[in-house]
Amino acid sequence: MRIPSSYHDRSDHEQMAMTPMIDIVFLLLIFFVCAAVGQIQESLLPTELSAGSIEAPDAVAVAKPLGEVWLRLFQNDQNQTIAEMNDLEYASFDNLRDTLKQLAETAPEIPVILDIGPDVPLGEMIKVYDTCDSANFETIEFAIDRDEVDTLKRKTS
Amino acid sequence: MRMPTRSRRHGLQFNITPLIDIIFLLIIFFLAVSHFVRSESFEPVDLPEATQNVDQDEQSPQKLVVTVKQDGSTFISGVPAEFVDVEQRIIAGHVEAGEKFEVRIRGDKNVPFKKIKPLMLACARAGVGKFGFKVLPK
Repeated sequence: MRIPSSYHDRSDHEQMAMTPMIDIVFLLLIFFVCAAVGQIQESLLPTELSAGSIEAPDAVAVAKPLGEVWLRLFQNDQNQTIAEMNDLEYASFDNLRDTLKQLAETAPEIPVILDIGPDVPLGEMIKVYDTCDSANFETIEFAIDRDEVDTLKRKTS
Repeated sequence: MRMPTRSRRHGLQFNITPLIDIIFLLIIFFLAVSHFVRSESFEPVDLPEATQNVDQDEQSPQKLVVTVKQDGSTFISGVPAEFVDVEQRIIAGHVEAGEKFEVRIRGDKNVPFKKIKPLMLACARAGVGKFGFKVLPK
Protein backbone atom coordinates (compact mmCIF):
# COMPACT_ATOMS: atom_id res chain seq x y z
CA MET A 1 0.00 0.00 0.00
CA ARG A 2 1.25 3.37 -0.82
CA ILE A 3 1.25 5.87 1.98
CA PRO A 4 0.45 9.42 0.92
CA SER A 5 3.41 11.71 1.18
CA SER A 6 1.49 14.28 3.24
CA TYR A 7 1.17 11.77 6.12
CA HIS A 8 4.83 12.19 7.08
CA ASP A 9 4.58 15.96 6.91
CA ARG A 10 1.55 16.00 9.20
CA SER A 11 3.19 13.76 11.79
CA ASP A 12 6.28 15.99 11.83
CA HIS A 13 4.24 19.07 12.55
CA GLU A 14 2.08 17.48 15.19
CA GLN A 15 5.03 16.37 17.31
CA MET A 16 5.86 18.94 19.93
CA ALA A 17 9.53 19.86 20.00
CA MET A 18 10.43 19.67 23.67
CA THR A 19 14.14 20.30 23.43
CA PRO A 20 14.05 24.14 23.16
CA MET A 21 11.59 24.32 26.03
CA ILE A 22 13.83 22.20 28.24
CA ASP A 23 16.75 24.44 27.26
CA ILE A 24 14.88 27.55 28.29
CA VAL A 25 13.66 26.03 31.54
CA PHE A 26 17.20 25.10 32.49
CA LEU A 27 18.34 28.58 31.50
CA LEU A 28 15.71 30.09 33.81
CA LEU A 29 16.76 27.77 36.60
CA ILE A 30 20.40 28.78 36.24
CA PHE A 31 19.45 32.46 36.14
CA PHE A 32 17.46 32.32 39.37
CA VAL A 33 20.14 30.28 41.12
CA CYS A 34 22.82 32.81 40.11
CA ALA A 35 20.63 35.76 41.10
CA ALA A 36 19.88 34.24 44.49
CA VAL A 37 23.54 33.51 45.18
CA GLY A 38 24.73 36.98 44.17
CA GLN A 39 22.21 38.85 46.26
CA ILE A 40 23.16 39.65 49.86
CA GLN A 41 20.24 39.16 52.18
CA GLU A 42 19.87 42.19 54.42
CA SER A 43 17.98 42.09 57.69
CA LEU A 44 16.58 44.75 59.94
CA LEU A 45 17.49 45.63 63.51
CA PRO A 46 14.32 47.35 64.67
CA THR A 47 14.53 50.28 67.06
CA GLU A 48 11.58 52.07 68.54
CA LEU A 49 11.99 55.80 68.80
CA SER A 50 10.02 57.79 71.31
CA ALA A 51 8.53 60.38 69.03
CA GLY A 52 8.80 63.87 70.41
CA SER A 53 10.81 62.89 73.45
CA ILE A 54 13.64 65.19 72.44
CA GLU A 55 11.40 68.11 73.24
CA ALA A 56 11.09 66.95 76.83
CA PRO A 57 12.34 69.24 79.53
CA ASP A 58 15.96 69.08 80.51
CA ALA A 59 16.87 66.01 82.47
CA VAL A 60 19.32 66.49 85.27
CA ALA A 61 22.29 65.00 83.53
CA VAL A 62 24.53 64.75 86.52
CA ALA A 63 22.07 62.82 88.60
CA LYS A 64 22.16 59.17 87.62
CA PRO A 65 19.65 57.21 89.63
CA LEU A 66 20.51 53.71 90.65
CA GLY A 67 17.68 52.30 88.61
CA GLU A 68 19.31 53.11 85.31
CA VAL A 69 22.14 51.61 83.33
CA TRP A 70 24.18 54.29 81.64
CA LEU A 71 26.27 52.73 78.91
CA ARG A 72 28.77 55.16 77.49
CA LEU A 73 30.81 54.53 74.37
CA PHE A 74 33.62 56.80 73.34
CA GLN A 75 36.84 56.68 71.36
CA ASN A 76 40.23 57.09 72.96
CA ASP A 77 43.36 58.60 71.43
CA GLN A 78 44.18 55.36 69.59
CA ASN A 79 40.74 55.36 67.93
CA GLN A 80 39.65 52.42 70.03
CA THR A 81 36.10 52.24 71.27
CA ILE A 82 35.89 52.21 75.05
CA ALA A 83 32.78 51.10 76.90
CA GLU A 84 31.80 52.36 80.33
CA MET A 85 28.83 51.14 82.30
CA ASN A 86 27.82 53.44 85.13
CA ASP A 87 31.29 55.02 85.08
CA LEU A 88 33.00 51.64 85.26
CA GLU A 89 35.26 50.98 82.28
CA TYR A 90 35.26 47.55 80.73
CA ALA A 91 38.48 46.28 79.23
CA SER A 92 36.88 43.85 76.84
CA PHE A 93 33.55 43.66 75.16
CA ASP A 94 33.01 40.09 76.37
CA ASN A 95 33.10 41.27 79.99
CA LEU A 96 30.55 43.94 79.21
CA ARG A 97 28.29 41.44 77.48
CA ASP A 98 28.44 39.01 80.40
CA THR A 99 27.66 41.77 82.86
CA LEU A 100 24.73 42.98 80.81
CA LYS A 101 23.32 39.48 80.53
CA GLN A 102 23.58 38.90 84.27
CA LEU A 103 21.95 42.24 84.92
CA ALA A 104 19.13 41.54 82.49
CA GLU A 105 18.44 38.17 84.07
CA THR A 106 18.07 39.89 87.43
CA ALA A 107 16.17 43.01 86.42
CA PRO A 108 15.20 43.32 82.78
CA GLU A 109 12.97 46.30 83.55
CA ILE A 110 15.96 48.55 84.23
CA PRO A 111 16.24 51.04 81.39
CA VAL A 112 19.50 51.03 79.50
CA ILE A 113 20.58 54.43 78.25
CA LEU A 114 23.17 54.47 75.50
CA ASP A 115 25.39 57.52 75.46
CA ILE A 116 27.25 57.15 72.18
CA GLY A 117 30.19 59.39 71.42
CA PRO A 118 30.20 61.29 68.13
CA ASP A 119 33.18 59.45 66.68
CA VAL A 120 32.12 55.94 67.62
CA PRO A 121 31.59 53.84 64.49
CA LEU A 122 28.06 52.74 63.79
CA GLY A 123 29.13 49.10 63.87
CA GLU A 124 30.23 49.41 67.51
CA MET A 125 26.97 51.08 68.47
CA ILE A 126 24.99 48.35 66.71
CA LYS A 127 27.04 45.72 68.53
CA VAL A 128 26.25 47.19 71.93
CA TYR A 129 22.60 47.77 71.07
CA ASP A 130 22.34 44.23 69.77
CA THR A 131 23.90 42.91 72.98
CA CYS A 132 21.39 44.82 75.13
CA ASP A 133 18.55 43.64 72.92
CA SER A 134 19.66 40.03 73.05
CA ALA A 135 19.96 40.27 76.84
CA ASN A 136 16.21 41.06 76.81
CA PHE A 137 16.30 44.48 78.40
CA GLU A 138 12.84 45.95 78.10
CA THR A 139 13.90 49.53 77.48
CA ILE A 140 16.90 50.75 75.51
CA GLU A 141 17.18 54.49 75.02
CA PHE A 142 19.60 56.88 73.43
CA ALA A 143 20.95 59.85 75.34
CA ILE A 144 21.15 63.23 73.70
CA ASP A 145 22.42 66.60 74.81
CA ARG A 146 20.28 69.69 74.75
CA ASP A 147 22.75 71.56 72.54
CA GLU A 148 22.47 68.81 69.90
CA VAL A 149 18.73 69.40 69.73
CA ASP A 150 19.32 73.12 69.39
CA THR A 151 21.82 72.49 66.60
CA LEU A 152 19.29 70.39 64.76
CA LYS A 153 16.67 73.09 65.16
CA ARG A 154 19.03 75.63 63.66
CA LYS A 155 19.80 73.31 60.73
CA THR A 156 16.16 72.79 59.87
CA SER A 157 14.94 76.33 60.40
CA MET B 1 -0.37 20.64 -15.24
CA ARG B 2 -0.73 18.89 -11.92
CA MET B 3 -1.06 21.22 -8.93
CA PRO B 4 0.38 20.28 -5.52
CA THR B 5 -2.36 19.47 -3.05
CA ARG B 6 -0.33 19.60 0.17
CA SER B 7 -0.71 23.23 1.03
CA ARG B 8 -4.39 23.25 0.32
CA ARG B 9 -5.02 20.24 2.53
CA HIS B 10 -3.20 21.50 5.67
CA GLY B 11 -3.50 25.25 5.31
CA LEU B 12 -0.87 27.61 6.66
CA GLN B 13 1.02 26.15 9.66
CA PHE B 14 3.06 28.15 12.20
CA ASN B 15 6.07 26.80 14.00
CA ILE B 16 5.55 28.08 17.53
CA THR B 17 8.88 26.91 18.96
CA PRO B 18 10.84 30.09 18.05
CA LEU B 19 7.95 32.12 19.40
CA ILE B 20 8.22 30.37 22.76
CA ASP B 21 11.99 30.84 22.70
CA ILE B 22 11.63 34.56 22.15
CA ILE B 23 8.97 34.94 24.84
CA PHE B 24 11.12 33.19 27.41
CA LEU B 25 14.09 35.26 26.34
CA LEU B 26 12.07 38.43 26.85
CA ILE B 27 10.97 37.26 30.28
CA ILE B 28 14.58 36.63 31.27
CA PHE B 29 15.62 40.01 29.92
CA PHE B 30 13.00 41.90 31.91
CA LEU B 31 13.74 39.92 35.05
CA ALA B 32 17.44 40.67 34.74
CA VAL B 33 16.91 44.35 33.99
CA SER B 34 14.50 44.83 36.89
CA HIS B 35 16.94 43.08 39.20
CA PHE B 36 19.84 45.31 38.22
CA VAL B 37 17.76 48.48 38.32
CA ARG B 38 16.70 47.64 41.84
CA SER B 39 20.26 46.86 42.87
CA GLU B 40 21.56 50.13 41.49
CA SER B 41 19.17 52.07 43.71
CA PHE B 42 21.17 50.94 46.72
CA GLU B 43 24.62 52.31 47.23
CA PRO B 44 27.07 49.60 48.28
CA VAL B 45 27.87 49.91 51.97
CA ASP B 46 29.56 47.66 54.47
CA LEU B 47 26.67 46.88 56.80
CA PRO B 48 27.19 46.01 60.47
CA GLU B 49 26.26 42.60 61.81
CA ALA B 50 23.68 41.80 64.46
CA THR B 51 22.10 38.75 66.02
CA GLN B 52 18.72 40.29 66.87
CA ASN B 53 17.69 40.87 63.29
CA VAL B 54 14.36 40.30 61.65
CA ASP B 55 13.58 39.61 58.05
CA GLN B 56 12.66 42.91 56.53
CA ASP B 57 9.24 43.32 55.05
CA GLU B 58 9.97 44.39 51.50
CA GLN B 59 6.27 44.55 50.76
CA SER B 60 5.79 47.53 53.04
CA PRO B 61 5.65 50.49 50.66
CA GLN B 62 5.51 53.15 53.35
CA LYS B 63 9.13 53.23 54.26
CA LEU B 64 12.12 55.40 53.58
CA VAL B 65 15.54 53.84 53.25
CA VAL B 66 18.40 56.25 53.85
CA THR B 67 21.87 55.07 52.93
CA VAL B 68 24.78 56.62 54.81
CA LYS B 69 28.19 55.88 53.34
CA GLN B 70 31.46 55.83 55.21
CA ASP B 71 32.23 59.46 54.35
CA GLY B 72 28.88 60.51 55.80
CA SER B 73 27.15 61.23 52.52
CA THR B 74 23.49 60.30 52.46
CA PHE B 75 21.51 58.76 49.62
CA ILE B 76 17.84 58.07 49.07
CA SER B 77 17.15 55.47 46.38
CA GLY B 78 20.64 55.92 45.01
CA VAL B 79 20.30 59.69 44.69
CA PRO B 80 22.51 61.94 46.87
CA ALA B 81 20.46 63.88 49.38
CA GLU B 82 21.33 66.61 51.82
CA PHE B 83 20.21 66.38 55.42
CA VAL B 84 17.47 68.96 54.83
CA ASP B 85 16.10 66.89 51.95
CA VAL B 86 16.12 63.76 54.06
CA GLU B 87 14.28 65.49 56.86
CA GLN B 88 11.68 66.84 54.48
CA ARG B 89 11.14 63.35 53.11
CA ILE B 90 10.74 62.03 56.65
CA ILE B 91 8.19 64.70 57.54
CA ALA B 92 6.30 64.25 54.27
CA GLY B 93 6.26 60.47 54.66
CA HIS B 94 4.92 60.71 58.17
CA VAL B 95 2.23 63.19 57.14
CA GLU B 96 1.21 60.95 54.28
CA ALA B 97 1.35 57.53 55.91
CA GLY B 98 1.01 58.32 59.59
CA GLU B 99 1.98 55.67 62.09
CA LYS B 100 2.72 53.11 59.38
CA PHE B 101 5.64 55.09 58.05
CA GLU B 102 9.04 53.52 58.68
CA VAL B 103 12.56 54.85 58.34
CA ARG B 104 15.44 52.47 57.81
CA ILE B 105 19.09 53.40 57.91
CA ARG B 106 21.57 51.57 55.70
CA GLY B 107 24.68 52.83 57.40
CA ASP B 108 28.24 51.78 56.81
CA LYS B 109 29.63 50.13 59.91
CA ASN B 110 32.55 52.57 59.96
CA VAL B 111 30.52 55.75 59.67
CA PRO B 112 30.77 57.83 62.86
CA PHE B 113 27.66 58.00 64.97
CA LYS B 114 27.52 61.79 64.64
CA LYS B 115 26.33 61.24 61.06
CA ILE B 116 23.51 58.97 62.20
CA LYS B 117 22.29 60.84 65.24
CA PRO B 118 20.76 63.80 63.33
CA LEU B 119 18.69 61.34 61.31
CA MET B 120 17.41 59.72 64.49
CA LEU B 121 16.62 63.12 65.93
CA ALA B 122 14.80 64.13 62.78
CA CYS B 123 12.68 60.98 62.98
CA ALA B 124 11.87 61.59 66.62
CA ARG B 125 10.94 65.19 65.97
CA ALA B 126 8.77 64.23 63.01
CA GLY B 127 6.96 61.69 65.15
CA VAL B 128 8.28 58.60 63.39
CA GLY B 129 8.46 55.78 65.89
CA LYS B 130 9.23 52.91 63.54
CA PHE B 131 12.94 53.05 62.97
CA GLY B 132 15.56 50.47 62.22
CA PHE B 133 19.05 49.74 61.04
CA LYS B 134 19.80 47.50 58.10
CA VAL B 135 22.20 44.79 59.25
CA LEU B 136 23.63 41.54 58.09
CA PRO B 137 22.58 38.45 60.02
CA LYS B 138 25.34 37.20 62.27
